[in-house]
Amino acid sequence: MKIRKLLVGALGAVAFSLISVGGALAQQPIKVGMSMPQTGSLGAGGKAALLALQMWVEDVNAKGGLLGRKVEFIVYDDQTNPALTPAIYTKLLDIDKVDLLIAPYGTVPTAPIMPLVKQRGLLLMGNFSFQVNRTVRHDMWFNNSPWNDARSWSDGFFSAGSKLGAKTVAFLAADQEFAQNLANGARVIAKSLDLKTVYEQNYPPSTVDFSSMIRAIRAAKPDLVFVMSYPNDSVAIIRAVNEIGVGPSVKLFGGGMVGLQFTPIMQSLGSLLNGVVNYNSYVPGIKYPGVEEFLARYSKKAVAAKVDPLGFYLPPFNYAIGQILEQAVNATKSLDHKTLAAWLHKNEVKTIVGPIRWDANGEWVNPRVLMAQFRGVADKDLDQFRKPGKQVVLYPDAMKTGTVAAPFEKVRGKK
Amino acid sequence: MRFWVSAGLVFSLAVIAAAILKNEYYFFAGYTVLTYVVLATAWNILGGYAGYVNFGTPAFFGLGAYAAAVLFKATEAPLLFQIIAAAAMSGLLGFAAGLLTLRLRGIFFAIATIALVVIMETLFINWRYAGGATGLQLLRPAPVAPFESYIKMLFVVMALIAVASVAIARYIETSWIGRGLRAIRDSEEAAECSGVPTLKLKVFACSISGALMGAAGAPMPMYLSFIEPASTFNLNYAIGALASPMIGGMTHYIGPVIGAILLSTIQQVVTVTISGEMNVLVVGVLLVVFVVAAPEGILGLFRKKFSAGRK
Amino acid sequence: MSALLKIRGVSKHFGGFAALTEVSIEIAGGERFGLIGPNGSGKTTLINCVAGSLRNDAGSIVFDGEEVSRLPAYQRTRRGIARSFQIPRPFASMSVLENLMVPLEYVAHRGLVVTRKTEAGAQDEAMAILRDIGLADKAATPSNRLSQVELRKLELARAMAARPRLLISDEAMAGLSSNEVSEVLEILFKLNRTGITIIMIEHIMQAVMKFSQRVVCLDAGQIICEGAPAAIVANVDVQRAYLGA
Ligand SMILES: Nc1ncnc2c1ncn2[C@@H]1O[C@H](COP(=O)(O)OP(=O)(O)OP(=O)(O)O)[C@@H](O)[C@H]1O
Ligand SMILES: [Mg+2]
Repeated sequence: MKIRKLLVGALGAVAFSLISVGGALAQQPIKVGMSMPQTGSLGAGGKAALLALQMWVEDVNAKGGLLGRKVEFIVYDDQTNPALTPAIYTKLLDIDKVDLLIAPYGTVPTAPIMPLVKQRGLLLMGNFSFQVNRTVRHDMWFNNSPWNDARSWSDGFFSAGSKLGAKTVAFLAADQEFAQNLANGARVIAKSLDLKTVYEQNYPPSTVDFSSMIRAIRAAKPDLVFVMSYPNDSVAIIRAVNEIGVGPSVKLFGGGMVGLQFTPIMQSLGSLLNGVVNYNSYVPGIKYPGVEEFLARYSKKAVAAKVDPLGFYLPPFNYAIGQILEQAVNATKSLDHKTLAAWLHKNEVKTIVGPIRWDANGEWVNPRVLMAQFRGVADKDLDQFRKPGKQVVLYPDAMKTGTVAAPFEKVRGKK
Repeated sequence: MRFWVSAGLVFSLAVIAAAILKNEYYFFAGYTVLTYVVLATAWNILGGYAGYVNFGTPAFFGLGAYAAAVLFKATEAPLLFQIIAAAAMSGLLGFAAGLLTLRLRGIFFAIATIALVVIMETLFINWRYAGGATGLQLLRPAPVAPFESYIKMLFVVMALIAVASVAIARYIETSWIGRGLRAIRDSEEAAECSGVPTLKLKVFACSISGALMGAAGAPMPMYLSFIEPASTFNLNYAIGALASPMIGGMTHYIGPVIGAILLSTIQQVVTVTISGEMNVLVVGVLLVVFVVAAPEGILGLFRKKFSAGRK
Repeated sequence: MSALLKIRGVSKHFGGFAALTEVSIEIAGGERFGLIGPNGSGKTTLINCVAGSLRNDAGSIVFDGEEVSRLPAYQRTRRGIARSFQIPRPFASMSVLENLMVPLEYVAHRGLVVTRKTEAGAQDEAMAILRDIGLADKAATPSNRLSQVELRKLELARAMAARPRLLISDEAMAGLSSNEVSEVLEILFKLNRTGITIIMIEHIMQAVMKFSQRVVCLDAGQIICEGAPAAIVANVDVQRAYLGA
């Protein structure tokens, strides 16, 4: 039973050696730490996001670092497992002694570290999570994702729909909390626009066959079909729609289909995507300053690193995290988390995903969830997605790259 | 006597560590290691003594965690009650699993326990009140005095659960119950014909084992301030609970403890030094090495010393 | 004297195969009873039904005036029915002494709390049984290191440790030398003298005929003849069953 004693001793020794190695150096680097899911369900996205952050570290160091100090990046793999993140972040804080923190990609691995950063009063840069600060309400949290609450996901779809004179709507939603959250937001908007709900179906998460639901939608003759689905379902729904058709009444189809932003899925569905109007974070053609140059550099590195070769969805927003930190640190000449947070609350930050300003909860004041329509997509062609025009932005108005094509069935048929 | 002195010593060490060590990382990491000590010890009661291989650890662990989380959400009940509720719920699940042994033995029982994990996970994915697939964020209360940080409190609580689990496992092992369980493992029919009420004993072992796994899961929602099905019913718990006794040795209660401390400490270190993929590999390699080179675990290597200590 | 064990109309099927058909036997307290029959005739199946390892499909089994055929095996053991296994089933992870501690702790020295005293009592009793059976010097040996003879003796010793009133010995002498056979026979005679009823299943005719006061011969799950040893040996049906003529 002496083993515990030994263990504590061993851990102590390791810690001591780490601290003594780190000490004494005058110009220590500024350490930026995070965990990133590199395995598990968010692993693929996490790797792409990581590459973008590493690009930022290289860029900032090439410019001489922050406050004249080099930036050192420390990252661990949390395996998409929230049970691991508390220990990883305390390790980052208490042993690696990082100066700045970035949250792991995704809501689930982030949730367990919210109380930790709140308790210790630390600045945390959010990373594509959804409403993770809702219960904790930490005023030093700043998300990089272009959405805010549930409404911000569906605004665009309905505003495009009402411009087409839509009167009726059908809802198809996964019976899971996130999708239901979005659905509730969508229902509120639909009601405020006086849209009549002619069909409503929540399907269980394990559903694989959607043909009967698609037939029922066709029979209901809606003007709009708003779908909230997860990657596997999204693919199955798109395939079912292309087999069966949703009828000539439908003006817009899509909305909140998770997965249609992911390169492998876009590549495999190809022309089946045509006509679908769906949310996105970035598509080519949007002229954020610097984003195209970033993506050009990114896609070269991505091929070598064997991660998402297009990298529209996550990487620019992860690079933006670095830019946000960089601007805050340079503006305040400080690494003090309170000072940085106060500055971020007061100022707008310029990034490759556009200017960002945060509300009291650390979400974007002006959410920019895009609604984009797939048009003229061919099969088996990855590079076509790099060109503007394959995904036409309909919303927000300030970023429009084209006008909506309707009805859905007519656009769908076209290659 | 010697056992209780060492157990007291270990627990006091945990308390002293909480009092003097400032660095919270040790407590976060230590908490995880202690969780695996409890899981491995609990697993060994059924798997090691009675020979019923249970792949369902996540079901019991996760049910305990969810019982605690739901109780907390509904009533804000303090941690102690959460642990009791979790142990009770998972104990009940253990009771049900124990009845399965009536018909299912060997590999069939093991497969049924995997099904248990799937059933539990599906159940909680579909239970909106408990957060569904997205999970549930919980605002944890202030730590109870004299603790100044919640994680230190959880660490001490988990140390207490670990000491209690080992004490229970030791009692079972050295009493007539343990002899009965070993008899079941060696030959169920001969045990029955020697007067051993095999079904009752198996149900008992399953229930105790399940209850302890549930207790191990109970503080998890507070540890994470969050609960979510995929990680709560993660098969890593099944692997850790099974691999630790195999590495440490299954015949003596200290075997799972040694195995769990060794394995999960290595895993903690690998997670923050090498990579996530390595983590899984480490368990695999260790298992293969031990199964081939030391089938009776680390204890087997020191066999004389330990069997001399036992009556 | 009323019978200790009454087997009435017991049948047992495995799927469509009738292993026992309407077997009825009465055995008196203190009796030495022989059960013979060719391979596969249902002897082990019958005692599995009596000891509780199998449930009979039809019929009744009354032990000491109580219907036991629906009781689990351990309950029957506690009521006084003990058996040895034809293929030895030692508790392989335990020493010889510990093997005996199982029935001792679960039958005779039962109690929720085990004190040092009761445990010492059980150990003394185990050692006494081992001495009787001639395994005392192997008490601390792991049971997976025993020879075939020793394993068979352990089977008997462990059955004895349940303090039975009825001891069923399933081919305890198979594969033993003639010296060893008489050794085991002597042990069984000795037990019988202490008042224990014994059912002996055996292929070694000399032994079973010498030991038994009464013998039943099973063939294809049915009793083909019952009587004193001499009568059985002379019976044509028995000869035919054994020789397959
Ligand atoms: N569990 C079982 N399932 C199916 N058949 C069985 C089972 N147990 C026994 N049998 C069959 O029942 C018949 C009687 O078997 P049993 O073991 O009772 O014979 P036995 O008289 O003890 O033979 P032996 O002298 O070889 O020991 C055999 O044909 C055997 O194959
Ligand atoms: Mg037989």
